[in-house]
Amino acid sequence: MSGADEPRRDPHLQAALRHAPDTDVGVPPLVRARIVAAARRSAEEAQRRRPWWRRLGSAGMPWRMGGAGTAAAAVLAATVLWVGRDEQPAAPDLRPALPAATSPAPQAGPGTPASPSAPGVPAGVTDEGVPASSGRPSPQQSAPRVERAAGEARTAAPVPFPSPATPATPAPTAAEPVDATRAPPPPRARVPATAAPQAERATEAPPPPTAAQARDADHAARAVARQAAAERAAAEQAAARAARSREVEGTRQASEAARRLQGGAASRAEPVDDGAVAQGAAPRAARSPSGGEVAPPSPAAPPPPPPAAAAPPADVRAFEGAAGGVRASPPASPAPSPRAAPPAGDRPSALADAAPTASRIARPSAAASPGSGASDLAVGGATPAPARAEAEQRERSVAHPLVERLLAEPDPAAWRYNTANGDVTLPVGWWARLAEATRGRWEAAPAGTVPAGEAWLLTRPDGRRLRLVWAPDVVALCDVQANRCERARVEGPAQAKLREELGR
Amino acid sequence: MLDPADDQLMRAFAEGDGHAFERLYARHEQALYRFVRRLLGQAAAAQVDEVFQDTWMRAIEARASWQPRGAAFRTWLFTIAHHRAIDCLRRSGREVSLAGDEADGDGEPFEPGGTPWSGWPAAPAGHDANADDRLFWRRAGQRLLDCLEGLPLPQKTAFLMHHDDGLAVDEIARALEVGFETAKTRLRYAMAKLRTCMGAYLPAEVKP
Repeated sequence: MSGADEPRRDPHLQAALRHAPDTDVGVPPLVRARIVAAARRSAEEAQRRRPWWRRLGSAGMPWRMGGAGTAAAAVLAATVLWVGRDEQPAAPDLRPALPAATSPAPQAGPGTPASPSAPGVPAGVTDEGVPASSGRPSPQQSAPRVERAAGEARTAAPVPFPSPATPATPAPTAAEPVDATRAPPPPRARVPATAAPQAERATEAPPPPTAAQARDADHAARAVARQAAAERAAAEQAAARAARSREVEGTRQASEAARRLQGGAASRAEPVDDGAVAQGAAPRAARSPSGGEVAPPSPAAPPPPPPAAAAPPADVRAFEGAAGGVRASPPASPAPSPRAAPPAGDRPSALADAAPTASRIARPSAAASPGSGASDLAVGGATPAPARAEAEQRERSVAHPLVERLLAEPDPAAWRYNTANGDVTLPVGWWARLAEATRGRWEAAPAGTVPAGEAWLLTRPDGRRLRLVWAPDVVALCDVQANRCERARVEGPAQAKLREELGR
Repeated sequence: MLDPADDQLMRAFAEGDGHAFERLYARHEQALYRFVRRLLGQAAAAQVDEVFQDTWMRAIEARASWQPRGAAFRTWLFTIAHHRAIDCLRRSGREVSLAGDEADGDGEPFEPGGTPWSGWPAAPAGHDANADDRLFWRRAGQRLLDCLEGLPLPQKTAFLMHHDDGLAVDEIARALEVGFETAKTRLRYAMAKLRTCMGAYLPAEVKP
């Protein structure tokens, strides 16, 4: 259809366009940087939400490459494990010699691993068995790895060592409990999580030591003990730092919770904040067994409720509820006031000078007219409380004829609006929700007072056109033909919710 | 190795690949910026950066929900830019008519008799023109930009999408959310007006 019918491109116009002076103008670097930075943030966020195995598969590379990479990693891991298993018998050989040959550190705790005590084996072997975590990475740098290591430790030892000392232990020593149950003294920080199964295997069947091995063991064990003492000191410092930061964090949480409780949001905040107040820093440690520093990926620490439009629907609803909480009573009667609009014939006069003062002028008449107010009150409920009736009447009395008239129309869903994917019909019930969110807030907005904002054009098959303006905390609705506008205050979250329903 | 298609890159970006977006951005940056710039014209030149940035931000926000529903990524991107431009023009107080061809009546667009461009030098293919020709075409380009200012927005959009960005008429129709015939009519009107404005039928005036 398009090929034959399509008008041909005019080569002269095209050439002129191609050579126009503005072709040289480039995108300002600042704009480019902003866009790219936003995209990166967005991509990182998407990455965080995805499980790690999918990340492996498609982190910027085709699926086949991802698969090959995974396979290679698996082969490598298997090889490392296999080699580690071959080297294992050397370690148990030395164990019996250790107490005699070395002068064990006097404060050797229960966290000594088996692997560092492999003096008969070249130094590299220890590292080989522990490729990933033999160093002592800073907790921030190695957060995911540490978390994984902790996970492995947990699988190796189903009972996660619930002694009170454990939570205070910093991340790198997360695997200690496993080793501690079996092995004797020193180096703590050196212990990697992956060493745990090996340590278990090592203690199972120790063959008798030889004299040469015992001598080597003596030298090696001394070196190891010196190194371990240094590392232990460093680990203790790190632990102290972590404990301090957790204390600070706990105090901050507690004070935040107390503030929130005082702020009157007690009903919503109670379950979380109570916990935070009662336990202080403890919940954090309990939730992240590998230590407080692993915080970045863990959702354990409950953040304060998100205030932005990006919040999940439930939160938005909660916010909207809060925003609409100004209402004296929840709308028990379904759609009361929109239908309460007086006949359309009355409207133009009210429309003509629907200034804010008009609402006050209109009130007595609305109250007096039996056709509008009274009948609706009767519809709303059998015997509405006087206060509620008064509130409803007050709401209705506000002059917002444009909106009222629109809401009184039989089929408000006939309105369509433009999107990137074409003209779209308004969702069913959207008008009603707009009315809910704006009830009692509409006021006439004379020309020139409509705040600036994003404007959408709503159209209807009969040619009627409305302009819907989304300004900060204000929604305005203008009748394009009549050039008449009304505006209502709609706070950010509620506005965001309304827009979100339209997919914009 | 073939460059991945826009759709693939967008999908990769939706899954968290930032580099995919950078490639996508580099691919369309210049064309989109030019399009926005020409669409807004001199009157709203100050808002070009804002509209351009907003367009990409929308694309970034929509990454998770984006689906290639029959339209190419490029078409989709230009559609967003078009909407943003309309919003921007409205915000700045200009009444934007979306019915570009209705205002001109329902007849054929006016075109004077004779062969257009008969007095013009041949349009250079690519950038191999000599210095004189380049200068000539540069001036012609400036004139065309001035002429574009006088076109209604829908016609201008159709023309730019067709001649500058190489979209087919059915893609333009999809982007502007109008029927095929409407898009075609807008395009014909735009071309007729531009030819007239450029002096395509009056060779003596234009020839250097």
